[in-house]
Amino acid sequence: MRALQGLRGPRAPSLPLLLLCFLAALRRSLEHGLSTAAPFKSLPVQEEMMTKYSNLSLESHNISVTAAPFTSLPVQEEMMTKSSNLSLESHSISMTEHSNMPVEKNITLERPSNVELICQFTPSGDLNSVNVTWKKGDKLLEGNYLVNATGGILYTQHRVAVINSKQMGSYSCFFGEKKQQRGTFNLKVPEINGQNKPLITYLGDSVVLMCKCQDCLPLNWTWYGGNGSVQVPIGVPVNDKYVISGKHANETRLKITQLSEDDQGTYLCHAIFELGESEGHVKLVVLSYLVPLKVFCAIAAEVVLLVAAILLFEMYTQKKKKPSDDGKEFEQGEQLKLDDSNGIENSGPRHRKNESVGQ
Amino acid sequence: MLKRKVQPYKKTLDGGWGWMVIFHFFLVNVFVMGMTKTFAIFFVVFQEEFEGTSEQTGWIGSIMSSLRFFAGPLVAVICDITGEKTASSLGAFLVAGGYLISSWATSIPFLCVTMGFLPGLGSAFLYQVAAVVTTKYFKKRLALSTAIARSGMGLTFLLAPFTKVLIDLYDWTGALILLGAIILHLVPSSMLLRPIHIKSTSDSDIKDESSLSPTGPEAACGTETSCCNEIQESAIEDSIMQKERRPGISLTVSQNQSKEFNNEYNRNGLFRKTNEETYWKKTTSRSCKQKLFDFSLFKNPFFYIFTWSFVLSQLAYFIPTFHLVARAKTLGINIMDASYLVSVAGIIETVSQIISGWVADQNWIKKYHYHKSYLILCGITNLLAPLATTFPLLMTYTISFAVFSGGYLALILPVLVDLSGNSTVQSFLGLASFFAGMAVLSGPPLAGWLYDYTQTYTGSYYFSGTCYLLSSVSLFFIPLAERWKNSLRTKREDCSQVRA
Repeated sequence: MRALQGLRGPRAPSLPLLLLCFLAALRRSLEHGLSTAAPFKSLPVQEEMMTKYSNLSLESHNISVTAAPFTSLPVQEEMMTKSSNLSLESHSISMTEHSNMPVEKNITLERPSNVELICQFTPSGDLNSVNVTWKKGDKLLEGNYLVNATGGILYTQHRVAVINSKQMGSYSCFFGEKKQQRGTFNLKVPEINGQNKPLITYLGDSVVLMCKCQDCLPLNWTWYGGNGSVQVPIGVPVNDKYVISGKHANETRLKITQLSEDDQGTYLCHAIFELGESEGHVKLVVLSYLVPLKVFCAIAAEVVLLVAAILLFEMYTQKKKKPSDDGKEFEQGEQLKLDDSNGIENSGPRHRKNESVGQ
Repeated sequence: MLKRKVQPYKKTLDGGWGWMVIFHFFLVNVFVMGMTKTFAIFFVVFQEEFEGTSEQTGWIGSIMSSLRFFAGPLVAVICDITGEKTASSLGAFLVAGGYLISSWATSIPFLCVTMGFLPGLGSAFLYQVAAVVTTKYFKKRLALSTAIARSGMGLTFLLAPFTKVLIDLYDWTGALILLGAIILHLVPSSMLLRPIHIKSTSDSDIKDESSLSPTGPEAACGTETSCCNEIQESAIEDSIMQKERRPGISLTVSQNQSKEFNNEYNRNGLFRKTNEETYWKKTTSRSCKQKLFDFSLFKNPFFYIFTWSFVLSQLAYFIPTFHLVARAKTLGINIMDASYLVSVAGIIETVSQIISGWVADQNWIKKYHYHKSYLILCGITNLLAPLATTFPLLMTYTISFAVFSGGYLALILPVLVDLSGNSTVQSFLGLASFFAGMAVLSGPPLAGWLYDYTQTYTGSYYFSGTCYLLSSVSLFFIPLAERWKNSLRTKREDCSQVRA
């Protein structure tokens, strides 16, 4: 304002000059506004951003341990109404001055959206002396973040409009200068689950390899067969051997028929999202039927050996007993005779018995 | 026709070659029980591979375990025709063959036949024949030897991880082939089942307190030949008057010896009947071929007593074991502790079986009293089970249940031998198993239905407890049945005396 007054002095108020001065003043107050919690000044800029990305979902990541509300709430509400068809995802991290471990949070994003990252910091000393910075990876971020201090807790909020894979990565908020406390948000695409254990199949068989994603819907799936480091896309020349299908959008199946030794190896399934790619591994092992058959034959041979050994043993013991066997049988007859003839005796049957036993 | 070489012994071995028979029985227990347990692993594999519902896939396991009991009478018949060694080897081939053919399976119904029907049939053969031969070789130490053989069930916990390793290495087809090969080992071990003839001397002390039913004139026929009561009765009735009080044919002979003994006895009787051309075996075998199935069992009250107790105790046994882990989960106990419970139960059951067998063999009181008390205690334990809501209490319940169930399990075979009286153990066990098969078939679905209906596991425990108590009830009727049998016998003796 003073500048303007000063300009009035010479009495040559040209319009462009006035405009320039006005703009300069505006910019200064804008910068000032951003570092303090003056919401109104920072609104136009953000509104611009909002209108640009109005077709995106707004994700706001809020972690508030205390119940101290944002003074920028009315701002939020306005922004919400502007981007009401967007989904707002909010994630937050809280930390104290004395937390030793760096605090991390993994955020899984599937569709382009607006992500609001909020860091909450409880300093031991003076609030206002704490310096707040945001970094993406190692690059320092400028602008686009709010800092608010209420009730002894420092909040900082950073909004990211994630539209493609360039905005994915890890975002960190830093508090303090000497002893920096750091909170990290990792923005990632959803993970794909392949199969942990290798699939065992036999030559000539067919197998179905499956890749699944828990709660996501990729745009597209592709399969790659990896022999070593070379990755060859599968199914590009459409043939009978490879059939790619999938019952639901969150899974993909690759059916391979007429397996041969060459089909062994690790297969990769790529899921393509708007925000990047993700892949899963499936390992395939192809055995020939001879492998278990050999083991089977070995065991069967061992069984046959045991049977033969037992038979030989039995024959041997029988041979030993044979000369005495007849004697024993007669002995049996004698014993029976004795048993029989304990009471009533009859010589007739005894003879007959002898004869029949002798048979 | 004497196919086998007979080795005449003066009394039951109670040792010697009997331990080889026990070894075979042990292996049978390991593999037969192992089959049932490893099936749980194949269940998951088959469900994934053939995309069947769990009900359909579960049928395979049900058929396998229930056919083991249902095929009892068939085993008895075939054993009479071919003999024990052959029957057992046939069983081993059936099981191994079933597994081998299953490796080419293309659908669940296919598997129902090759992995349910064939192994089930084979395991029936194996198990029943082994049990019967054990009863022939052991008399005084029957309970202890059976318990030692049954401890093979404790080793089955090794089979499950082994099967998993096989599946990881060779996929389920290769695993089935290899398991079939391993089960083939039962063929040489069934060749250990040497036939045995026991011949009793005139003054052998064959009075056995454990015997319950007087075997006298209605005594059953021989070991290797078919069971032909009628013929013996007619033959013996004539001769009984002549041999009234011969010590050599003491009527209080115990069951194990009676069969062999009565072989000789029949011989005598028949010879006394002055049919020269009938070499005793020929007679019995010729007429016996017409009577392969022993229907006289249905007239035997002991059969009903035993079957009632057997069926109900089998029904009641499955439910607590089935639901133990699930119950632990609902109480908030984690899987590791629950599996610890299961393994503790297994070990204690094995040990308790051996101790119970040894105690029963001491013959301080009749074996069925022990059986009765164990069943009652099992019932009470299960009725109190719903009170166990924390891990220590659940552990207490598991331990006590394992102790008592091990106790009664070891005594099933000895009590059966004591009760079987007139008939061969083979046909008795066969027919009793047939009825038990129904309990086995209906057990798991019933347990599941109970849970679905009551939404807690306490209902199944109450059911199991009452089943156990009911199963012990029939054993209280044994003295009554004994008295009835005695009166029958004296009546018949009077009749024959009058006739004479």
